Amino acid sequence: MGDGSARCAVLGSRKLTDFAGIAGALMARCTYVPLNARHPPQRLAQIMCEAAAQALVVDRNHLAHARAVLEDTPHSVLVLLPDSSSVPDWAMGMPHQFLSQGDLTQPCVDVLPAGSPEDGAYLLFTSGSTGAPKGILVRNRNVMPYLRSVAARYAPGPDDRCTQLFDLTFDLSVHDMFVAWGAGASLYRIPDSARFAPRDFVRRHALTMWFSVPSTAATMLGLRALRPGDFPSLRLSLFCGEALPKRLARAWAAAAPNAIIENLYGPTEATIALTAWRLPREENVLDALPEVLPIGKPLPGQATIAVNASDVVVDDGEEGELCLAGSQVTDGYWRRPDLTAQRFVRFAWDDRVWYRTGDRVRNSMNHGLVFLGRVDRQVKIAGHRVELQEVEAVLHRAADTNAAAIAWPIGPDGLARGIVGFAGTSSRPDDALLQACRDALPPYAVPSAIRRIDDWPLNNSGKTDHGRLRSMMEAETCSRTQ
Amino acid sequence: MTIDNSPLLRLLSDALAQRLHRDGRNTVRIDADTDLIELGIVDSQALLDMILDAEAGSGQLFDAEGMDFESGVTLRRLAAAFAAPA
Repeated sequence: MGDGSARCAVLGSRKLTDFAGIAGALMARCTYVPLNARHPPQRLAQIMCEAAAQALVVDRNHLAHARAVLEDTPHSVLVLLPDSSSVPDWAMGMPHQFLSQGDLTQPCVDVLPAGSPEDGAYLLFTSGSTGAPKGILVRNRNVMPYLRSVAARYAPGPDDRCTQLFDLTFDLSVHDMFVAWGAGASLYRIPDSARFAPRDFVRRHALTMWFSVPSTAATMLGLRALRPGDFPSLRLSLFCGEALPKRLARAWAAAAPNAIIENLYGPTEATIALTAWRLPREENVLDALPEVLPIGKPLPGQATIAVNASDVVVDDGEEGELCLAGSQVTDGYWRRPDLTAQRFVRFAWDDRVWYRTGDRVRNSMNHGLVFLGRVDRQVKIAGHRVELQEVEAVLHRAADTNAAAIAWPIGPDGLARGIVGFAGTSSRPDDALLQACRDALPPYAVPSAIRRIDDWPLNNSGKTDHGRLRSMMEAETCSRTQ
Repeated sequence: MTIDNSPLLRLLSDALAQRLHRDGRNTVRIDADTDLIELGIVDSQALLDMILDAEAGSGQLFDAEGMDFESGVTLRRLAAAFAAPA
């Protein structure tokens, strides 16, 4: 049992044991720390240490991965193996305590401790611009307002059948689990092999609620697995995690003719999603919308503003950096007061703490906020946040030369489809650089290729000119297609 | 990679081999029945690219309805889901 401050990591890949591990951690008043079994052990061990996780739940499919993580975790951890019949031999000699199925007692739900709003709900690690992942502790008092807003807005109920597509390391999975469980609805875990084209799955189970990143819909459209009338059972379709192109939303609206379609927006620092915008069904209204659809207005109890470079709130129609305040905004970065001070700020004209998102927006009187891009070098790959500086730090260490990374290519919907790395010509071979990236970064942040550059492009400040790198890739693409 | 000789299988395996080579993963062993998703070597974008490459190379269209994704994504299953040219 925890006291609201203990942390229990869960290593898995959306298996039943992983969901049970999360529920069990929370019921025992522990903050859960999801670890993705597809991410390299080196990175997961780093997170175990940063989080100072006291316990780790591992499903039997990932024992080998757990071994590699635990070998690099110096502090003592209670390792729970709820679906393993015995403790593996390799556990002997480790500084950790292992409990397998037979060692675990039956659950005693009547003696569970009462939780507190201050308890940590989950601690997520996301890409960090300094070259290492950074943690964000989301407390019960942050996540409960979101769940209440969702319950009021969409009225989920016991008859609903909801998609579960997100990795548990993606905070949108918190919506999946707790919206469904809180309403007594059914949560349908879509198998990994069908996650990018779940048309048949949705139809067969007559799912009623859909939640994904726009990239999932884009892949379905690319595979011609998104056709008019495909999803009559859906009454709600939510998209979040990256920009929603109008073309894609139109295709989805045709495929799900009975669904309310909403575009949600929010960084992990502000708990899952903080704004929402509803797609109009009228064609003439759709025609007048921008190609990247609006992100709308804040949920109840939350606030948004856009500020200029002087931290002055801009007028409607003017561009500024989006800042967020309200009960969903977390306290800052886990054990990183330096980063927290940079992004969680108080303005002279307001008492509240505002989170600076780094997203450029303008406010439209008609549609609410419209996303315009980033003020920094963060990109989204299939909805996953990647700070390109983190990729560059790994490349630089491995190559020992200049190194850079850009999002490339950009698909026809304006969504980034991958990352390309750059290094000087005198460094180690491409294989070695890519392996170094695979050893340190989640799969979506690993460059798809390395380009070698003789004459490193520098801007007037003597820094890497990323615009020229992008131009090089554009020129390469043009010459290939001509 | 060890792949039998159907033209579509060959196209798909060539596209995958190119991708693995570009990623510096020449040593990954794959046959026509290897589950590409379970092995973690392709993501949705890579899979889409492979399919589009094979469509361009064969003149045949991939029919997503002809593929049972939930049973796993293998080169053989992908090849079988290509329809003959119209």
